[in-house]
Amino acid sequence: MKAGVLSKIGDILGDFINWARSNSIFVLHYCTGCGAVEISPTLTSRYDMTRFGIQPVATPRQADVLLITGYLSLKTLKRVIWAYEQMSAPKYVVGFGSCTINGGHYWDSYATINLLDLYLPVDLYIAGCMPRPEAIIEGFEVLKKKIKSGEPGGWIDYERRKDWYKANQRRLFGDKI
Amino acid sequence: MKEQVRFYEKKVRIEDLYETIREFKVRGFSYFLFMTCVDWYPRNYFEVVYALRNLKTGENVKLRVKLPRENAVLPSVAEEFPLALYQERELAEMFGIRFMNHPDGDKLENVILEDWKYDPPMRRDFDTAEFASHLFGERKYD
Repeated sequence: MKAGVLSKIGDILGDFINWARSNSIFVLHYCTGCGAVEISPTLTSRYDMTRFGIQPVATPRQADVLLITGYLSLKTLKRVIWAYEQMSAPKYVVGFGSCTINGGHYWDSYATINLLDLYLPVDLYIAGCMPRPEAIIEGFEVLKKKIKSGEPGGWIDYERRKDWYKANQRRLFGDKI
Repeated sequence: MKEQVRFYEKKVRIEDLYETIREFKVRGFSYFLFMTCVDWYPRNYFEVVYALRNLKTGENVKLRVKLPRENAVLPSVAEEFPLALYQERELAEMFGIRFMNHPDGDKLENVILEDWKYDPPMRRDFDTAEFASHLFGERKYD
């Protein structure tokens, strides 16, 4: 009887925490490609993403969401992985634009990767080249729903299949990752 | 017509390259605009282009030097023009040209391509599409 009550309280508390998390998303916007151009109007007064509870932060240690804005060259990918591994546990990765999905314009470039989800667990892709601020806000609404529902985020998958991700990363960087 | 940028062209042999560039520097072409490499793949030679400018008269000169694609070696001009330091290193890793007497040493580490262990990627016989699909994979759609 008592255990049932306790677990119910735990559920309610968990739901509350998820709800609170979903409404205050701290975004590390790591500006890798051209997508950084679309972040500025989303941030500033025209579209104003702070009214949806989304706020940019400067350091990976405080961030919940890692935005990958556009193409990733090999050199940048290494830094992105370092930044991702510094972030604390409820963490999500949002891939911006077609470059993170399948390479986009740079599908045949020797310097940029094609598939981001081989190296990092991507929670959400926002399609477009580049996505408009409306699409970005819409994408964040989807991410919010995902956080609110308590669905396991990509970081759990990253921990569970770390060998697979690390093997993919090592394929590019050798032992330096 | 007055505003137009014009380049005077001069073809140089590899043996005379260093002397010619020094001569031009003495004659007032003291500004090193850029250097670049053209890969004439089917004809099997590189053409390295040096562009110099005379700041007093506004004249430009383009020095073109032909060299074989295999075992491409050039004298470094970084002693004369320090701006060539990094451009030479870039050509070294993008085209696989070796630069003799480079101030940073003969064995150069990569500056732009980090830990690159494949062929120099800007050469025409480097198939980027195949390389990318092999190394980075392709999205499979059903």
